[in-house]
Amino acid sequence: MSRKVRTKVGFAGKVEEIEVTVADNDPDPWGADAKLSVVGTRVPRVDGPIKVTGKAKYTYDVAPKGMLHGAILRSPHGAAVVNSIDTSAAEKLEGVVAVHAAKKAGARVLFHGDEVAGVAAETEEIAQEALTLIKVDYEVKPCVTTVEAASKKDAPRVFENRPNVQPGRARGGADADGAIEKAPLIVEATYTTEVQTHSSLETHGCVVQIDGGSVTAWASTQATFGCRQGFAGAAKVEQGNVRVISEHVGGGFGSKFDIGREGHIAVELTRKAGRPVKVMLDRKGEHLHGGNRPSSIQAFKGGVDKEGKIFGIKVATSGTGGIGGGAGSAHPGFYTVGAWEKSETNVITNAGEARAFRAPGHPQGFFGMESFLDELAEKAGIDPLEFRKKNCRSKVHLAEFDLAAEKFNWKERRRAKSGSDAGPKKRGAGMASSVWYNAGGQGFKVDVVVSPDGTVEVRNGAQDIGTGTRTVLAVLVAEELGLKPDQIVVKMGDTILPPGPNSGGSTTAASLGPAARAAGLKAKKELLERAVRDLKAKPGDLDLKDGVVVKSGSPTTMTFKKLCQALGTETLHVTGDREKNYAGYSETVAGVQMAEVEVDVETGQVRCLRVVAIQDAGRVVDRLTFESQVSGGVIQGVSYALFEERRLDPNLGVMVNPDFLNYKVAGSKDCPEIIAIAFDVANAKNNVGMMGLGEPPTIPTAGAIANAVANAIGVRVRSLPITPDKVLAALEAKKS
Amino acid sequence: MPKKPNRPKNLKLGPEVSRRGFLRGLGAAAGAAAVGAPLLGARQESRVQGPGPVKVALQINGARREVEIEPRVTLLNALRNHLDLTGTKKICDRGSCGGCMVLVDGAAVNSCLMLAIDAEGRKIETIEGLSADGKLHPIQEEFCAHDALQCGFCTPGMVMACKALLDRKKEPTLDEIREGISGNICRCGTYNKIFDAVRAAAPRLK
Repeated sequence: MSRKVRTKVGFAGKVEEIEVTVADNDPDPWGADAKLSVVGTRVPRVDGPIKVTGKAKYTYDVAPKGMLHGAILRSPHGAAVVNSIDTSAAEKLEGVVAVHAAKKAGARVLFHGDEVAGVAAETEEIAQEALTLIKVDYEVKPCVTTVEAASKKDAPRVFENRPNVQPGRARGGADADGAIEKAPLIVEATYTTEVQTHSSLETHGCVVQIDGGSVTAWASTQATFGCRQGFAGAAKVEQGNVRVISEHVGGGFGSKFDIGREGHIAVELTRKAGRPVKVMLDRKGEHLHGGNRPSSIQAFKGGVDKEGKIFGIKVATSGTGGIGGGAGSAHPGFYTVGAWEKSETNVITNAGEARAFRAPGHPQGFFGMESFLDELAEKAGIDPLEFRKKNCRSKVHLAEFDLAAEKFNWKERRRAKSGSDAGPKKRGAGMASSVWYNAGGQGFKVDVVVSPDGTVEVRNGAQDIGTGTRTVLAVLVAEELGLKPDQIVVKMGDTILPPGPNSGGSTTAASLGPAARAAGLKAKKELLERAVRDLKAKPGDLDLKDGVVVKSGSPTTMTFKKLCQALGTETLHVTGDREKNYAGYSETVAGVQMAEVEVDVETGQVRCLRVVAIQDAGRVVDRLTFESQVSGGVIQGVSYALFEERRLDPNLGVMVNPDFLNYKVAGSKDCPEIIAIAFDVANAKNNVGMMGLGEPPTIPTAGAIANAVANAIGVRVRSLPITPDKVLAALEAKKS
Repeated sequence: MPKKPNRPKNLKLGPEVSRRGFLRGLGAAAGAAAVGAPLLGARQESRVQGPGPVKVALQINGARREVEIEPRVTLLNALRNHLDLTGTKKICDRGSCGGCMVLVDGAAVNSCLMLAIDAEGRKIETIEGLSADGKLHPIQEEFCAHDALQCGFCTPGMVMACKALLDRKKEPTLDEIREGISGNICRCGTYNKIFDAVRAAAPRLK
């Protein structure tokens, strides 16, 4: 069933050998000394050409014959009861084919944007017009939009049957107070972050087609198989009768796991209309009910001594994820913090629910934690870099700290004296770190199909939401078959293909990569068996390299294409299984970022100038798409640190910035120079040694920027986003 | 396509007062790179059309295309919903993201801010026209080579913004590139790679 294999793990200068238990049909893991020709190079995205030409079909672009356009009417109030809903005028409008009241008389709407009704019409314009004809009589109720307001004793309840304040479980469990009291130096600080919306550029939505008992749904999703279950439930059919297609997805970032209310509305409209219906959210709907990262209030208390030893840290957090939960923050990472105690509270408010958002809990938690580490270091009179190294229990992080300091030139860029730059523009440097956890999961399958004409197709039903999974699979199969990645066709995003994961926890590539490699290797073995007789070789003598069959290390005249001709009329179809992870070098991936900012003390404006991002992802399969992931994570982090904030009117519960004019996301003028460096760690765990990469690069950025701002101006802004008003207020407070 | 919709009498959606008209100013303010406003105002004659579908002839990627659409249909919706040109993306529908950028008489325009009837008689270039001969345009090639895309949803608009930039500036500086695509949003954060792609494409287009 399984075998023991010795393999080299670790990173440059720290390589060691371990024994791992590998399933019999799984290839030997590539160790630190593996010689690979395609894996680890810079490979352009295989779906680049169809995306740059506009040919890639996203859900938004799909239009089956006879399709109608849907639109959703949303609650204009933060909280209300629907007294009555009259859809008759909308139904009479010419061109309207179906109307569905999602809320009946007597139903409550819980937030601005709550779905009230849906319409399907011949054109988008008619559907939009029909929404204006639906008459809803609301009895407006008081609403709560902030943690403070919702936590008051006499606050109106969002849900009648449960209190707004939901205490979470306590963590850590140590008596931090006792330990902190023993420390010579004590620091207390509270950090806050705002609600951030995912703002995927392709909004949520789907196109539903029902033929008798079978459902085909095109969905903008990061979970084709999850949505298959969702649509089966909504349409009340078996999952086997549902096909979900998601060939290309315009971003998800954690917000697109289920079919959403829009999925249910689309199914109802499709049933009523008897024709396919497309329901895509508009930008406002996306902000209101397309998911968000909860806010946080993180109160820290900690004790330290002059040598930089942390005695203990106690943290109490609260936050709101609207009508959902999950307002927790991730602490304390990989740091040694002495006695550790934590309590978490989730507060329910009248707002669209939070959803998983790129490293849930982490960007906010690490902003708090890394800010607090800097404050402890300052109290102890120790450089923040040295302070972290003293309290770090991760060997990969320790090595990354040094590499980051060198690449960033920490000594030079870190201001010994804050605000010492001449003129109003003050520069400063700060740092922060990240940790992430995933090496992918088991149970998935990847097919490799080789045709007699030499074409190679890789198939899996999971989705590529823009991370580059397609390219990673192409690289791994190309490696085994001695081909170039662009010679491999990768088909993804369709539930009729082999099972794959939902894209959560940065697991997709690492869940599928090892199965793709296994399938590629299987295909190679089967193809080469067919060449043994022609080439008068023993099976072990043959290999595939650079598009030809290699015999005992020397190229033969048999090309890959010719080899495939031996298939005759047969198509070679093999399946690679994703076996379970085995022991590796590290259970986590490590990241360190250093940021330089420039703060204008006259205007309060902060610009992030430069970020060095050192990131471990186990074995990097494609260095080009690796760089893109890291760079993109940093830019989202800059955006979170400096700009993004969902604003609700506290009285009306209405979002006042549900667009891209007033909800500011980072643009081309806001991007720092980014130096993204892969910290290669051979980590066994699976036959490729891949680990998760999608989420970790966005974790440290906000913390690093906040620390850099404090270094630049000598006063700390403990609240994200770090907007000019907060900077100026902090400078004022420092003066007085 | 339905016949004339039963429009309620109190809804005034004539050519003089429209949401799109109101939004012109906003869009121009948001996207410095998009020169939508002056173009949009250029149609002089006041010809009352609609509210039912009217015939519109558009000059798209060198070909004449006729559609029958309501006058309120934007150029973006005409392209996407009536002409099967879905490379142009709808992202914000308010002129603030650049996802629907096309070239109108050579200038970058957010097609969600322009009515299709206002585009009559103008030369419209969409992403599909850039590689009409089946060969990638140098900007598209450099986007691929530098991995200046991730999910790819902003990419067509970005490519068109870069084309407009390189059409008017042969050797843009980094700041000029930042300015040139400042009306375009990329949520995946590919901007830095786009800067690289534009710098690599520029000498190839001289």
